[in-house]
This record gives sequence, structure tokens and C-alpha cells, in this order.
Amino acid sequence: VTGAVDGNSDRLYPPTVALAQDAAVAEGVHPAKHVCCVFSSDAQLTALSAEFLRLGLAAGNRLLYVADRPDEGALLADLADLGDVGGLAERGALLVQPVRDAYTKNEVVDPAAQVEAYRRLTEAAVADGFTGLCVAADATALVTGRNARRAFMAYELAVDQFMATAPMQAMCAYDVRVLKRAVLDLVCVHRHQRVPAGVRPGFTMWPGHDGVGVSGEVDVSNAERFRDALDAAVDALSTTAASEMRRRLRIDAADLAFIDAEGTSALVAFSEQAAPDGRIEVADPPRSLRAIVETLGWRERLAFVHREATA
Amino acid sequence: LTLEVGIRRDPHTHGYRHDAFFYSGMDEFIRGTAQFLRDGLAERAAMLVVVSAEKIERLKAELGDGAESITFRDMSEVGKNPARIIPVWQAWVQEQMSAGRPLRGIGEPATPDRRFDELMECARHESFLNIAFEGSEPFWLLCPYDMATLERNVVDEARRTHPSWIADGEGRASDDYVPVDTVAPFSPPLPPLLGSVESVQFIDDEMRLVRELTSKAAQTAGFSRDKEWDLVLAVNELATNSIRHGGGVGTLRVAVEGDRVVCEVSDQGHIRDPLIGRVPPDAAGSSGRGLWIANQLCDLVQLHSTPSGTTVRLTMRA
Repeated sequence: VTGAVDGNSDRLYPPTVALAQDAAVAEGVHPAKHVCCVFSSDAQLTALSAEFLRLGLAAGNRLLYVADRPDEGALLADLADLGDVGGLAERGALLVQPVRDAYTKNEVVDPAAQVEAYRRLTEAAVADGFTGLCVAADATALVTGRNARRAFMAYELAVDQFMATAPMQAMCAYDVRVLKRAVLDLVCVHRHQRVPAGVRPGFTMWPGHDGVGVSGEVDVSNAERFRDALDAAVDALSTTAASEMRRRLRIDAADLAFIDAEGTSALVAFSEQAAPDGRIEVADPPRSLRAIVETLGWRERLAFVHREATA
Repeated sequence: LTLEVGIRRDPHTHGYRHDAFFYSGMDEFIRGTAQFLRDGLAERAAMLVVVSAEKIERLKAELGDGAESITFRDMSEVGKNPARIIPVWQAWVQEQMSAGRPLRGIGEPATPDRRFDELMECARHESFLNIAFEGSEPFWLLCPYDMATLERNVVDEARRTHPSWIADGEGRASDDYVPVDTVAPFSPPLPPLLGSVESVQFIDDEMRLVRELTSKAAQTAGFSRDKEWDLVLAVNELATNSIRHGGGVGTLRVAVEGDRVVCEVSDQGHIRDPLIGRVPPDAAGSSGRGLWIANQLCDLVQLHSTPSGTTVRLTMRA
């Protein structure tokens, strides 16, 4: 992503993120800002969560564990690998919460309200002397319906934008046994992914300060998901403070290898909904996007720019 | 040149007239087309001429100042793929409509430098011209055919694709004229695919295989990166049609012949609209988008479609 907001994240967190990066932890920085994990057993969830939180603990973060468990006792038991979880909880270094209490009481999450809640939790952690907040959350129960999932995609993009500058890091875990193919809707809005082989959303979308970035390939297999992700981006962009100052909307397409006509028409729809003047800038588009825009006469809607020239 | 004799359709009363003009050699070409254009100047017609660059120069020299009010386009730029010609005429007719002037055009798609499969598509293009301007403004379109250089069967075909023709200074209705088969416009089969053929069957989440096979062929044939990706996009869009409209599964066959790549996408769909891919797709809908893109990007697009399935063959040269 271009610009100063999260310009560092590329350097610190390459796309194939290895969680155990001791050097980064030693500097008090968690090595994975916002990572998506797809799990297929309870043991896998607890192992991934403990691993992620342990890095946060080493970095001096306050820890928060959220999962679909009946009570705090069951949640603490999940994290036995962390050591003296009772002691950590007692001195406020570890918070646990059943998933239904942590997020909205409604069926559908409110992205802005949820980001605000995490902002307060992060500020409280810093006020209490921690270096930040490290969250491991299994939100599967909140995204089983399509509308709920679309709202959650918007929340994921909005919270990613928040985390880019705030001392918060999060691992979002989703249960593939429950979500099946729909798990890809959540995976695609995380730049960092730890997923089993075969779980491939095809493209990845992330927020930038004046739009979104996209990598991968968009075709008939995922064009509908791409449309949903862009809808989510419209919502996410409207929740961030930067939206008031935004004069233009940009898609960073430098790592987009291919997009078909359906995907491109989703970009055109996005420009209608989200851009101040109905027009978006596309930085470093792939050849296919140029050819589609040229042959279908969509030049008025999508303007091509070079990232270097406009960053 | 008495062009009005025996002609079935007079553009002033029927809106649209589509004539073949049979000539032999450059001199007769210039004499015939220059008179057609001078008559047009006399009736203050708007005129577009789409022929070779050489013929454009000769006509401009012949017409002098008169050429200034005529628009000329190079056929090798406009109509390398003959399926790109109708949209050019349609956009021009659209532009001229408000002025209320009669329209005259000259288009020469069939020239001896074309390959056999291109000439077949030229004939199809000529045939579809008969329905593309049905009910339009007064528009007289003249299509020259050089009897001195074209194969006999190309000239014979022109008698079947034009309702009327002009030769030796006289116009007449064509007894051989065959109107477009609007029920099964793409029923004639394609000639066999030559060379060594690689193929892959695909469903919706296997577009990457489709792109990879196409990409590999383009590289083998020595395509530039841009051309490679144009072909990959065109094939991807046709394969997408197979998923959306062709039964959800399709087959891609790819053959490389020297610096030429031929890609063929087959599925269970059935195409009945003769002008599909020759009218710009509606911004809102996706209908005809794949064939439009393929026509714009590829050197040649051939279509065979019956109730039992559709095959679209794309040809592109490095």
C-alpha cells in the first residue's frame, strides 16, 4: 500500500508470514499485525492462538482471547500452553471473553462501533503500561450468514486500517468445518494468511489511506466475492476518519496479476458508489484491466496512474 | 455508370442499400468508386471510405478538393478482424444521423492478401451487413471486389451476400442473394483445427489452467507480453461464457502454427444472435461482452453454433 500510513508493514510482514520472528519480538513489535488463520480442529485453534498470543506477551502486549466457549474458565483452559494463565489474568495481562459478549449483540456487526471498541481497549492497555493489545479471536459464530459475513468483511478492512497505526495486532481465526467455502470471504480481506493448502481466495484486498490494494487474480471463480469485498471496502472507507479528507479514491493494483471483465465491472460499480467524482485511480493495473477498459470504453470511470508518480 | 437500373432497393425510399461492385484492376476501381463519391458530393451526402492505404491515396488524388469532406479509414487498421468493421459503420451512422444528410459508404474487406479463413469471415461480415442497418437512415454501402485478383469463389460468394451488385457500369439485383439465416446464423461448421493440439476441460475454479495453457502457447509462438495477455484475456472471457451460459463446463483446445496461435473454446451453449460481439455490449449487462472483447483483441474470431453446442475459435499472430 502506498503512503505513509502503513508503509512499514510491507517490510516487517512479508505476505508469507512466519509467526516466530524473534528479532521483531525483541524490538517490542509483534511480527504479524493482522493475520487470518483457518482451522479445522479445536486443538488447532488453541495451538494457533497460544502461539500468536505468546509473541504478544513477549512484546509486552496485553492479551485478549475471544472464542466460542461458554465461560471464562473454558477460555483460560484453551491457553494452558501459555503457562500461568491464572496469574496473567489476575494482573490484567490476559483478558478472555466468550465471542458472543465480545462483539455485537446483534446478528450483524457494526464495523465503526467495533473498531471504536478496539480503539478503547488498545488505549486502555497502553494506559495500564502495556506496549499494546494482542488479540486472538475466533469469530466463526458471527459470520455464518451471508449478510453478517459481508458486514464482517467491512469490519476486517476497517480494523486493519486502524491497526496499521495503532499498537494493536490480531489473529482472526475461522472454522472451515462450519464455514466451508465461505471462509474464503474472510480470508480475502487479510493480507497475511495462514491457511491450509487448497484454501485459496484467489485475490487479497487490504485498505490503504485513500482506497484499497488488491493482489492475486480475479476471475469467474471469485468475481462475486470480489464484488462483496469492494462493497465491504465502501463501508470500511466510510468509517475511517480519513474519508472526510479523501479527495480521490485509488486502487493499488501493482500486485494484481489478472482481472476479468466481471471483476472490472465490479470496480466500475465501486467507483460509482465510493468515489467523490464517480471515478477512481488505478495504480499499475495489469494488462488485462487496461485491455478491458479500452475495449469496453470505461476510460471515464477508471484512470490509470503509476504508483511512483503519485505516491 | 448507371447505378439505378434494376436495383431492388433504392436508399432514398428503403433506407439502406448494400451493393457489391465488381471491378478489374486499380483503374476501374478508381473510376467506379470516384464516380460514386462524386455523385455523393452532388447530393451533399456524408461519406466514409474504408479501403487500403494505397487506394485511399489514389482516391484522394483523383477527387482533389472533393476528398476533403470525405472520411477515409485504412481497412488494415479498422478491419484486420472483419468482425470489427460493423461497429465502425454503426458508430459512424449514429454520428451522422442528426445531420439528416444521406449517407454513402465504400468498404472493401475482401482483398487477395487475406487468408482463406479471413475471407470466410469477410463473407460472413458482408452477409451480416444486410441486417445491421435494417431500417436505418438513407445509407448506400458499396463493397468493391477485384475480379482480377480474387479467387472465383470469393466473387461468387459476394453475389450471395449482396442483394444487388454493379458491374460494367450497370447495377442489378442479385439472383443468388441469400438472406441471413436468422434462426441458425452460425450453423456452418469450421474447418478442422490443424497442427498439434493441446486441450483442457475446465469448470469455474479452473480458469487459471485455461490462462496457463493459452499463455504457454503464446510464448511458444513468440508473442510480445502485451499480445500474450490480450489473447489470455480473450480466451478467459470466452471460457467465462462457457461457465455462465454454456452449461458450466467447457473445453479449450490450443494449437500453435509457427507464429500463429489458434484457441478454441467449446461448450453446450447456443448462440442465435448474428450480431453478437459486433455491437458494443450494454454497460449494465454482460451479454456479448466476451465475444466483443475477443473481436477487439484478436486477429480473427470464428463461430460455430448449433443447438448441440458452440465453438469459438480465436486466431492471433505474433
